[in-house]
Amino acid sequence: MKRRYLLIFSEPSHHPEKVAEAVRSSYRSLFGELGLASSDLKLIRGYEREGAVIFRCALDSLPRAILATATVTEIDGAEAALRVLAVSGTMRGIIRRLARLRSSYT
Amino acid sequence: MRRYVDFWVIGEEREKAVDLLKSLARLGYSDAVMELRSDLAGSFEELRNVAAEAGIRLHRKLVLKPGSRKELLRELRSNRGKFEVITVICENLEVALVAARDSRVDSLVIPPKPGFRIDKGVASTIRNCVELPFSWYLADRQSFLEEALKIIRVLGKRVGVIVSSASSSMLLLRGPRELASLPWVLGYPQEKALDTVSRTPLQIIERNLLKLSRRYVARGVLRVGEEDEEEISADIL
Repeated sequence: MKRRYLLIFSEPSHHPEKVAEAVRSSYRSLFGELGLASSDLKLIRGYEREGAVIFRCALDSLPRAILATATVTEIDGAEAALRVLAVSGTMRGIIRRLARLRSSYT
Repeated sequence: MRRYVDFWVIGEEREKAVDLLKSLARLGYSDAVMELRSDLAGSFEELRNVAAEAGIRLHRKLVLKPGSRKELLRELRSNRGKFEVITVICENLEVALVAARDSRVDSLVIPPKPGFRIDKGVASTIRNCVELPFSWYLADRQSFLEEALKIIRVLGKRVGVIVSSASSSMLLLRGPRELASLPWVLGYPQEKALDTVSRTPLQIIERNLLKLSRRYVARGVLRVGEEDEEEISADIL
């Protein structure tokens, strides 16, 4: 099965687990339990300091995963926005994009 | 490389509008169309300069919400040539049918549960683009998705669809890929979905900038002089 990795930033910064839960819950409410189960949506890595997470999903559920991420407006009762900053076919690609983003912010 | 446009952002206060513009630049947009509310209406040139510093081309937008055909035509007449983009929120069929065909209108917004049906008859009259405001989706997902599905299914093949943020808050702004995910999920192929935040709105902006320029004489007729060396693509004309 082909997969895609998504680099997601939360604004303001939130704990990776909270971000992951918000994305999963948004996906579930939009596409149902079956949709979530077949999406292979999984938190791969979290960076608490930056409020960034790396998600993995099946290639054919990529648009759904992006829409579910964009639908999140609240995390832990506070207003928030999640931004999909990069999509890549490999973990190495997404780590490279994260490094580039880090260097552009500093 | 694609250029992305947020076809509707709302400027309410100066500081917030400046933050919005910086945020749009960070999200990867090259153009933004801003509806200026309250006091901001007079400070467009200043905002345009701020936007240019951030790397964004800023354009003015007028959003009309007329109750009748007469009101719409009056508003269009009085605002002709003052805005780069004119959008009409169609709350009834009468307004929708006029706005759909009027060349002064650039996009229509069909609200959720509009009180009229979008069928093939309506579709055959629509010439302007249909806009899907993402903040409306965030406010009432189910009703919005019902309407958006109809729009994509019935109108999607005939007219251009545009997705915009329609927001005055930084946290409600979304990146181009996130906006494009909406038509993508609703059935558009990926490239066509990306066109809803890039090619389709850009064509409208370029066409309207040309219309507002001194070179424009009439549809398909341009004044050509020594100063005008810039080439214009045929699809804008």
